[in-house]
Amino acid sequence: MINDFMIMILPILVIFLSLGVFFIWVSKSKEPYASTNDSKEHTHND
Amino acid sequence: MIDDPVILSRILTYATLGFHAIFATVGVGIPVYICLSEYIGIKRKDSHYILLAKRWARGYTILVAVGVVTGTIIAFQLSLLWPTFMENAGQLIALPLFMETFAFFFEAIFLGIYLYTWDRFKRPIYHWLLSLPIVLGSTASAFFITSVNGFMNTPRGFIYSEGAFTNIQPLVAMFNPAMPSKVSHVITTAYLTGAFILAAIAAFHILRGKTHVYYKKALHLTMIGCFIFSIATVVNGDISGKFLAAYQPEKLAAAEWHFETEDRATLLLGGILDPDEQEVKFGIRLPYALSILAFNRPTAEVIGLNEFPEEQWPPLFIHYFFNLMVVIGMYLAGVAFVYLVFYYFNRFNSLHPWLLRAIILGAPLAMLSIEAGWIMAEVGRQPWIMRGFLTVAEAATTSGHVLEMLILFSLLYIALGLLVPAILIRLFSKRNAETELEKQHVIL
Repeated sequence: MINDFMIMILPILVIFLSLGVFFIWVSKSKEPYASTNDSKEHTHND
Repeated sequence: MIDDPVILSRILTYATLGFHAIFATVGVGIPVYICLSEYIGIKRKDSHYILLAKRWARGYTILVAVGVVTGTIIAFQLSLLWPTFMENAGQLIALPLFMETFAFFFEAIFLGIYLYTWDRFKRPIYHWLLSLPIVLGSTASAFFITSVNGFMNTPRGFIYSEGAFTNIQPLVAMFNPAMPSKVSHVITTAYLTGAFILAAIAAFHILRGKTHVYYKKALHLTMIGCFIFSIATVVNGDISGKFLAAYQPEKLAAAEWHFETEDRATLLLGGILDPDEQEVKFGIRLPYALSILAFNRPTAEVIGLNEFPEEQWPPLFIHYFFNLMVVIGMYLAGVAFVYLVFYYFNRFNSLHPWLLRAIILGAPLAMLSIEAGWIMAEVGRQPWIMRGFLTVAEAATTSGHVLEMLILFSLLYIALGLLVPAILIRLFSKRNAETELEKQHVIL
């Protein structure tokens, strides 16, 4: 069950996989806290 | 007064590495968030994300500068404090040491260009492209230097006969069996720690009443990173357990106070050890968990410490550092998970003050976990500096002036440790985010 793939290859795949998931999750997700963003309704000069 | 150069060399190396680990970890972790934040800012035409990238890059530059100082000190100390190690292993680890320097310069050159070319390109995406070599260089730097540490744990790439190392194969030495699990663990925990530090800063501002969406965006982006990289860290921790069981069973056994070879081995949390009787009081035992951690099978046999000569046992106190690392790792994963559940399920307030406090606490805890992990990894390799071939005592300098160096470098680290936070606080408090957004005529 424990083999060279798990010790030599899998750890490196974990880095790329987690980076990929992070990139996709963040770039595809909607604008966070958009409903609470009432400040965009005003300019700082208002 | 301690006058043994071996002990003094170990203390000085620990002080340097312990201090450097803080800056190196942040130096590897933060560029990912700078890069991603700028990308989202360009893609969504959102100035908040662009400003996040700008401000993070400014703070990052100061941390990199200090990391250079401590990194250079380590390079010198390797030769000055551990001359016999460098004499024997120098040819084997020269390649990754050189590549680490190359990767650092690669990162530093592009960081300089990145900092001074904001708003200089017709298309902003060209500026964003400059952040990629920074991410690549910092991560590659961690890759190469960790491979040297891997080599110390599982030396490969040579033939050892009559006290001499011959038939040197640097690539085999670099791609040693410890390298992948160590590299992956180091890189993902650096990304995790970087995320928690940035998230803690955003949470701190929100907790102090700054409700601007700029901080919320920073918090959300980094908390997603916290969650993903905490999961990656858990996976890597599991792989590291399997690596140790296969290649360094004495380290795993010492970390778990596992003395007798047995199947269905239990995992021990906490406890107080009676070393003479080899008995543990007050510990929490998880049935089969050590066998699963080591071999993915609840009935697997795990080698005990008694299979090894006692003089080759690592110090047994590493059990507490191992536990500390694991418990903090679970805390970080738990906080990130709770935040995302609160945010996505909308039933609870994801900006609840207690959750924000838990996130803020996560930053120092993440750093503490990094330190505990390194202590477990390095002390767990004792008595070897190059496992199976060269002991720490054989490799150390015999110079009688290590104490003076220890005092001098300790003063330097104390000075840097006080100066860096002071500079960062001054830098960011003089130009807060709202003022910068106003200057850019961003709609607040």
